[in-house]
Amino acid sequence: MVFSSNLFIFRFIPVVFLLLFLTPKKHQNLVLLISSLFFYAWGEVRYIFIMIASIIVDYTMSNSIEKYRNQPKKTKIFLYISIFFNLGMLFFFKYSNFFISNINMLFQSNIQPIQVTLPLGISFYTFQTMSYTIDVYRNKIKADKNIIDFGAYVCLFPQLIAGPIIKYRTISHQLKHRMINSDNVIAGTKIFLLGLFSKVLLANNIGMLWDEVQTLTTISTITAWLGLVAFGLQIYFDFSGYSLMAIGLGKILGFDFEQNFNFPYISKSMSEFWSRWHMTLGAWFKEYVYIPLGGNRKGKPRQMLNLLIVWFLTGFWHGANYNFILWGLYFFLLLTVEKLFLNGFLNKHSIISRVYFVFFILVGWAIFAIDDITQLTNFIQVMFSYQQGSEWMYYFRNYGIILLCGLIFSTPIIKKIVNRFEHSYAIELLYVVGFIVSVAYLVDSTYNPFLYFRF
Amino acid sequence: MKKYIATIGVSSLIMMIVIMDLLMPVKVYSAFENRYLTTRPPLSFFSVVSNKYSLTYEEYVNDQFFKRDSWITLKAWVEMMLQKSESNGVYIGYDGFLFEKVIHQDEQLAINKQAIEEFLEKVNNQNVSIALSMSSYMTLKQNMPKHAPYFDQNQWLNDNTKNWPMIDLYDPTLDYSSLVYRNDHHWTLEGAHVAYQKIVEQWGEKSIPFEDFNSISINHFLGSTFNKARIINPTPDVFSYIDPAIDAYVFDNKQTDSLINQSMLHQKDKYAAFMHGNIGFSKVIVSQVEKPSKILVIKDSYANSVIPFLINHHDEIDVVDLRNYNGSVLELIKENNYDQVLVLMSFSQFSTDKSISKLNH
Repeated sequence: MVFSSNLFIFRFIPVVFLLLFLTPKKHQNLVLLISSLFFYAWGEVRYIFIMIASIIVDYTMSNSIEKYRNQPKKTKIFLYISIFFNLGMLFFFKYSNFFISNINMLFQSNIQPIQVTLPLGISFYTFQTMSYTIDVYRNKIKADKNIIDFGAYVCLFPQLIAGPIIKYRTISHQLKHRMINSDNVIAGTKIFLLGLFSKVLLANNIGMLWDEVQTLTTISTITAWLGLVAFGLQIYFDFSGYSLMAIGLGKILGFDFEQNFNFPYISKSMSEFWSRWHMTLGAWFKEYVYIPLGGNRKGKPRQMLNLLIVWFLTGFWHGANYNFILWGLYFFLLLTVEKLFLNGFLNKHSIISRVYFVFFILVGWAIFAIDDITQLTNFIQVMFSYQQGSEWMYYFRNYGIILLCGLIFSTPIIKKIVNRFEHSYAIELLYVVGFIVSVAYLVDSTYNPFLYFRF
Repeated sequence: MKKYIATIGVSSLIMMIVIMDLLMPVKVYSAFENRYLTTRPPLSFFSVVSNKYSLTYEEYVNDQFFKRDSWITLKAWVEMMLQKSESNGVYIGYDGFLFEKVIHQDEQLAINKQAIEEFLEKVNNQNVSIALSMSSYMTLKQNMPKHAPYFDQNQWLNDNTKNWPMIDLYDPTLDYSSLVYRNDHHWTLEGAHVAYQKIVEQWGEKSIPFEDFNSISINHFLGSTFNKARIINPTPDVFSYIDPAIDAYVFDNKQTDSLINQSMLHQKDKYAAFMHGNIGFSKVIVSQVEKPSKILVIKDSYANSVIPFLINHHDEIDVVDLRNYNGSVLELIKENNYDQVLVLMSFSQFSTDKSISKLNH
């Protein structure tokens, strides 16, 4: 199930909130667990077993680590079992066909691809459960003795399918004792609504432009760039919208999730961008890959290698295809250049640095959005050798207003205004009006894609 | 108190809609959208396991949503404010004209081109003529939204049909604003008459002027493109038809004496009145014709409004709609000694129709 649907807003949410309201405190996590499993199974019933297996394996392994704490060999084995299971699932469902097609290409063999659809959100929750077992192993947290509480953490529906990636230790306290109070409900509702507007009003409406640009047989250079701006805004509002909806729902339920996006498009460098974009993923890779590899403590060459590994994995995490690997390495290159000598210059020139950032982020989105390498090269050719055409004027007229809204909303201007006039009638009413318009778009939804089916 | 407004407003709206959804009776058909709505799916083990249940249930929630029509209208308003000149795959042109939005060549077009070439070879070009009607966005370009991208059908015809026995239906000297509908993808009766003229003149016959036909008009026609697009303020068309005297119209083991299905004239889809819709095989028999001749028309719905004009030139018209016909066209041509074989359809149908290859069966 996805948040941006009438089913979720007008069926799932009312029922779950009613159940939670009627359930005594000590059984709330059970209700959350069951409703999250229902949420997950909706649309693909079979994958509920993967979820349950995940819960059982990580629960058993973490408690075994706890039990044999003073026998390092044993704890290591339990940790490896957990990691092997999580990565194994991720590998099987997400990457098998990528490797099969590569083997077929290399050896002219004819291995049949496996017929599976990627379980929703598998890239997100396998990372969460791994972080949990690793933290238990590192003795940072105690293993959860209560399988229902632990299960509720693993498949908590707000952040289950598109993040943020929440570490157990961030919400361990709230998992056991959380308070639902009216201030949180009010704040959470507003965050959820902002997320809904981002996804339904901005991302969907802007995204149609990029979708159309992709279907055109010939495009002009201006249209190509316009399309990339649209894609960049779409993926930002889609993704950050999901995160906001998750954070808002979490807040209503009494959980504090971490911020996942912090106006990434106002960045002046790629390093800044990655400290503002999908922050929980960056933090995860830093804590569980980069630092264990040695980080920057083993000299420059080793640090470069570590960064290369992290960015290769970051790219590959976004999808089982070469363009995503390329996309990761592209950032590795830019970040390295910035680290070596560009940072000083960028810090001094704020206009040039923004132009630099926008240019390279758009090229990056081209690599991300077009997964066919031949098509990608053609597209990049159009971007850099001027192709005439007038269709961009049509797109400007049709998407100009919404693109402008997107650009404005990707800066902190609106947030500042909202904060300035917080709790005024006008702002409060705007939320309600925005909700009504969003519902209209959901009822008549000709375009409401789910972009993370391959994450 | 002020800070509660958003939360209370939104949650009470949600509760109200949920309650109304539960109370309102299920609607089976939407006149507003001209389609059947999804109703509550029956719960069964199989439907749940195959994920059919969840899929249909989601559609059901959307289709039965409280005041669905008003929500759709609200969205259309917002889209208008955003200056959108298209809606749901339809261009919203100037002066109330709605156009199909086709921006790239369909894969099927190359396949159908081959099918036609194979067919021409098989029948040895004998008295075959092909007439493809371009979409209204091609004939009424000045009414299209400015700079809107489109697939150039004219270009394709010029590049690909050099050796075909083509009848050019397009006449750049005419004003097409009265020849195509604003709210439907078909041509108007006058547009059909122009096509009729071009066809019979190509055959060396004299066409009968439009004024000589007794055309009947019905106001307020909103057709296919209107149904697809979501627009607030359409300019309705006038729907016209002719109902000439014939001896018999035979189809599906039935026989009538009119090419017009009167009952459809009062429905939303008035154009379906012509030839009683798209029938796989039908036959028109007329006795009073100066020069009796037998013709086969292989066609789509565009031809349905042209055939009533043709009865003054042929005493027997066989009509085949490949989409609903499973016999062999080649056999048909072999068995009947047709004086003319006419392929008459819209370019847009020709470029997407998967049944064109049935020609060679």
